[in-house]
Amino acid sequence: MTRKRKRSKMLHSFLHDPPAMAGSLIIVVFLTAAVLAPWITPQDPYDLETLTFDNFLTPPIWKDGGQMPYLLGTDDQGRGILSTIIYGCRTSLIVGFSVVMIAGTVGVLIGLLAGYYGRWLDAVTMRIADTMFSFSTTLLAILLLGVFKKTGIGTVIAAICIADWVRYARTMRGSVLEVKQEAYVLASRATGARDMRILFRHILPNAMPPVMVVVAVDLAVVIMLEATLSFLGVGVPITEPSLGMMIAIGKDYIYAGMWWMVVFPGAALVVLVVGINLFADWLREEFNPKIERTG
Amino acid sequence: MMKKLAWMAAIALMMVALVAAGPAAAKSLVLAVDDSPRMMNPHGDDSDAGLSYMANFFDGLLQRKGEAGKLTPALAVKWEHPDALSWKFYLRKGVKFHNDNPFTAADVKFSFERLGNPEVSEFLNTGKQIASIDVIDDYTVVFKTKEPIPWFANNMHQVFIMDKESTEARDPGDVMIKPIGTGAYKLEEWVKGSYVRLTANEDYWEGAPPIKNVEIRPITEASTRFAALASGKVEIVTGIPVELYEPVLKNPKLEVVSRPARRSIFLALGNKTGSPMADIRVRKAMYMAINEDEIIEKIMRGHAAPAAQIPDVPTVGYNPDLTRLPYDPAMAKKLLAEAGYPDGFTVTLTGPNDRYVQDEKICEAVAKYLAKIGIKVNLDVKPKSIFFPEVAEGTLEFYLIGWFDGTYDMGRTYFKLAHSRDADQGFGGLNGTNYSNAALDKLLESTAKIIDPDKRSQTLQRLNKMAMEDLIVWIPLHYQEDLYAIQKGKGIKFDPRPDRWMVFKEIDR
Repeated sequence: MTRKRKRSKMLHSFLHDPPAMAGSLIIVVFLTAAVLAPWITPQDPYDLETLTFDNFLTPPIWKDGGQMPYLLGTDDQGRGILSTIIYGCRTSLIVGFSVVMIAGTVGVLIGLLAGYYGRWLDAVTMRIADTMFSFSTTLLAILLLGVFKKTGIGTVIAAICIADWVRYARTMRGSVLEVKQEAYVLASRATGARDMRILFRHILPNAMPPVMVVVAVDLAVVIMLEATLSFLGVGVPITEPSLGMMIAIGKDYIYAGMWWMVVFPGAALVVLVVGINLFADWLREEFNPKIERTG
Repeated sequence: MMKKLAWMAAIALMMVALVAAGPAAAKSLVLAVDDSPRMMNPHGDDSDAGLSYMANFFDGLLQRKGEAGKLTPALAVKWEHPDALSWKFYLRKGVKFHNDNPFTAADVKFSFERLGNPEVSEFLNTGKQIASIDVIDDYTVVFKTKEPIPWFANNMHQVFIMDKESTEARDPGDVMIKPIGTGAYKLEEWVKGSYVRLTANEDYWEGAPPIKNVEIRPITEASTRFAALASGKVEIVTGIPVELYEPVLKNPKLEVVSRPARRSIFLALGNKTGSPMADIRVRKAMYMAINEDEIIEKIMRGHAAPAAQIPDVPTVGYNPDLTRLPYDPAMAKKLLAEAGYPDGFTVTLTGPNDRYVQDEKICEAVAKYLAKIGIKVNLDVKPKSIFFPEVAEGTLEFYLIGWFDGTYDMGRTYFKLAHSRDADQGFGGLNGTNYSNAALDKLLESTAKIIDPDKRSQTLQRLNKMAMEDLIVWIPLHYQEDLYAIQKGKGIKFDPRPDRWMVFKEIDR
């Protein structure tokens, strides 16, 4: 099958999979909002110079006491909920994509080398991976954040990356073990091609599909993890927006009847994660060789 | 998994219902508090949360009662201060420990000597101050301190007396989990993270307490604690968060009990040479930029009183003439410009997020106010378990903290918080910014020798004025108010103490 035909076949299956299209629509909407945040929000909720208590704890616009421009109400520091959600998604997506890129690259390289060279390299890296895998990622990230002693988006990304590369390394290694037995790899080795060429020209592209599925699933996992860490108060600092932080602040007000501080950011998080997962499901079906073979 | 959880929840609910519906003959009480005990060793944890538990199992030589925390006899019936270094205590006769051992002077000597052992004590300073403990007879003890300690007796309500015989005989691990004191309650069961059950000591020297069984459930999360009360699982909760005050008031089944707290909340500023905050004008500007009235109204929801100093009214050294600098951001900007920082500067504000009422929110608000005069604040808010060690290290620049002095004497407070750090002398142990001012140190050291109450009070007031007006060692914010909620119509008679201790012998129903 040529690459071009494969691509058109994927497009075809995508256009006939409504959940996948809904998922990608959600992702596009969130991405656009996140990128355009400074221009589409009525207020920069994290500009301390302009933030005041004047309009704090106002309910959503359709309730008594609601006021423009705070469509979904405000929180206890006077931040508009909608604006904060949009800025919070920005953080979620920045953390999500950064981790997927950094942990993905590192994990893929480690998996590639471990799978191809085997022996001690494989043994050492995979034992490390096993050890890290036996911890829950959340717990590991919390431990690391405790060790770093510094808060900030960068720290959160670093902590999640350290806890998360394992996923990629294991998937890649498994995939490489399969691919390196293929005839074309053996053939190119027989013709005297160097390791680097074999690794990056022949094995890497052909071992990638399972990793692509991990990327999509992992994006959702990382976004949830950032929200969890921020909810627990070990993630991004309170001066930076985060959906998890919003939920943490809002939960103190649930019994006071001010539900909007928790419900809206919670809903935003759910929609974003469901959107990514719908897309990931489709990707999994596309890339899973077993389904392709039987189907 | 969910099914299993649901079953467990159902069984737990039934058990609670059974407990609640049990025989009404013996009075009992179930309550939720905001902190769990770290240990059952009365000297190992000097936090008010820990001491609150211990005050039920143990007694001090003295105790504090009532709204003003008046010092009254407990295991000692009378005390004298014959000279600057000596303190003589006459002990109560006929008191028994929970294991029936009689209470004598030997137990007092043993307990106070134990304070100096870092393995079991967080009261090292008190331990180090004592030069000798002389047992005159079974019921008379004389303490000699190394230096004159004017507030020595003021500390006697929180140094608890242990049984010498059983403490020495038992394994140290057992001492950590099983309290044997003279207190009004005995420990029945302690399940870490779940509950602490107490039963009345029927032989208590002050008379058996009216409530026979107490179950304390530590629930750190404020809204969960409130939910336990609202659903009727507990009858008293401590630490009602201010944002839940209105809902509690509106709930016909619940009642709020409030008590102005002794604890003041303030900001500590470093004065490292060359840093902006070494300039008094900058300190003044930061003070004037903060709208404390708004903090009280919007963040504390009215449940706090503005403070112009660290000590509260009953503390020796409280100066009634001190007033807050006015809130005036324009003036603050001008002062900054005069000091050479027209465009402000950057500073890191550190603070706890799980210690004081709305601590994190106050830090956020301070960052907001300072941003408006051009000072960029990096917020570094963290759990108390990480924050307090940093204060003890003395490496912070600017932080939020709260304080009240258990001894009701400002001198001790200032030695810990304001004196230049001196590890050998034990000064400045909680001076987290490494603040240092020679004039202040000198005046403070001179107060250590003053025993005469009037003269002492005058000098400490002078010191207080110097710190708050001339030097602006701290920016005072407010005194907290403690909020409790109880089930209405259950006949609970509960009058909270100013020190937040839950002393169950003082509660009836």
